[in-house]
Amino acid sequence: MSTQSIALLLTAYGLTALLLVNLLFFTRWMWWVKGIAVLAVGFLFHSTWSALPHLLGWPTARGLPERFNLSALEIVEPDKSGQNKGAVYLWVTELNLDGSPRTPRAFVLPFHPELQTKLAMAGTKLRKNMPQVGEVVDTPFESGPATAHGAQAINLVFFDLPDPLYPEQNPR
Amino acid sequence: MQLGQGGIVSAYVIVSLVLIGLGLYSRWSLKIKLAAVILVTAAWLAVYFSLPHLLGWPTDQNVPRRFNLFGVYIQEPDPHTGESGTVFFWAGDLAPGADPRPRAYKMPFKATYKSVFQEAQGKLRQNIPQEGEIELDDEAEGRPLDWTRLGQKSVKIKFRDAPVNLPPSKGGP
Repeated sequence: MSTQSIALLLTAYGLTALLLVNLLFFTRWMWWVKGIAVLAVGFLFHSTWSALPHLLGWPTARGLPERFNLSALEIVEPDKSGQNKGAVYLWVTELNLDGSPRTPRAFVLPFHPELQTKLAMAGTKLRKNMPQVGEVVDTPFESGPATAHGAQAINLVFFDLPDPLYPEQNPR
Repeated sequence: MQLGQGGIVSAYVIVSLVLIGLGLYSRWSLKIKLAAVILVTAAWLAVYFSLPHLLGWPTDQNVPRRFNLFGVYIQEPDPHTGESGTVFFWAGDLAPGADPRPRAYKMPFKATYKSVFQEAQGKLRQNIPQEGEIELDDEAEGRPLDWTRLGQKSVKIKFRDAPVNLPPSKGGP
C-alpha cells in the first residue's frame, strides 16, 4: 500500500478534525448542534476506516506499471447480448530482475480480442514455468480501440523473462 | 457492519451538511467560513486522489470460505532482513451472488500454507482448476510465537480439483 496515500488520508482526517475543534471552541452554537457535529465527524472517520478494507484486494484500472512480471491472469469474454463487455484481469508485480520480493497488485483492463490472444500465449508459457514480462506499448490495436471500466484499452507485449546474468567468479 | 463506497459517500454528505450549517448559521467571519470550506475541500480531494493508490493491493480480511484459485505468489521469510514472509493468492469468491471479479488476498507465511498453496499452484499449471475451502481453527494450540499476531485467527486451507461445471481459467497459474 502506498505510504503517500496513507499520509494523504491522515492529512484529510487531520484537516476535518481541525475544523471540528474550531466549531466546538469558537462558535456559539447550541451544545446539541455541536454534539451532532461530533457524531457526524465520528461517523465519517469510522465509515472511512471500516470501508477501506472492503476496497482492498479488488483490481484497479489505474497505475499498471510500464514493465511488470506477470503472476496470473484471468480473461472474461464479452457476452453476445453486449451487457457484459468483458475484461482482462492481471495480477502482476513490478519488474524485478534481481528477484527481490515485491507485492503483487491486481489490475483490470478493457477486453480486446488482440490482447486476449497475447495473454493466452503468455498464460500458456507461464504454465510451462517460463516467467513472463509484460510491457505497456503505445502501438494501437489493428482492429481499433476498446473501452470498458472507463478506461481506454491498453496494448501489451509479453516476452520471456531473461536469464539472470551472474558476475564472473574469478574476474581478472 | 460492512461499509463500502456507499459508507464513504454518505459520511462525506453528512460532513458537508455540517459545513453548510456552519456557513449559514454560525457567526464566524467570512474569512473563517471560507477557510473551513477550503479545508473540507482539501480533505475530500486528498481522499479522492489517495483511494486509487490503495486499490489492487492484497487484503488480509474477508477471505471467502470457498473460492476459485487463480494465482499464488509466495514470499518466504528472509532471516537477513527479518521479513516474516507472506503467502499471496488471487481468488474468486464462490458464494452465491458474490462479486465474480478476482480479489487479491494475503496470509502470513506458514510452512503448511506454503505446501498446500504450492501443490494447488502445481495443479493450476497442469490446467486443473482449483477450489479452495477455509476452515476457521478457533482452538489455537500452544503459545503464539509472535505476540503481535495474538488476535489473528488461525485457518486451515484445503484445495481440491474444481468440479467440471466450473469454467476453467483461461489464464496462467
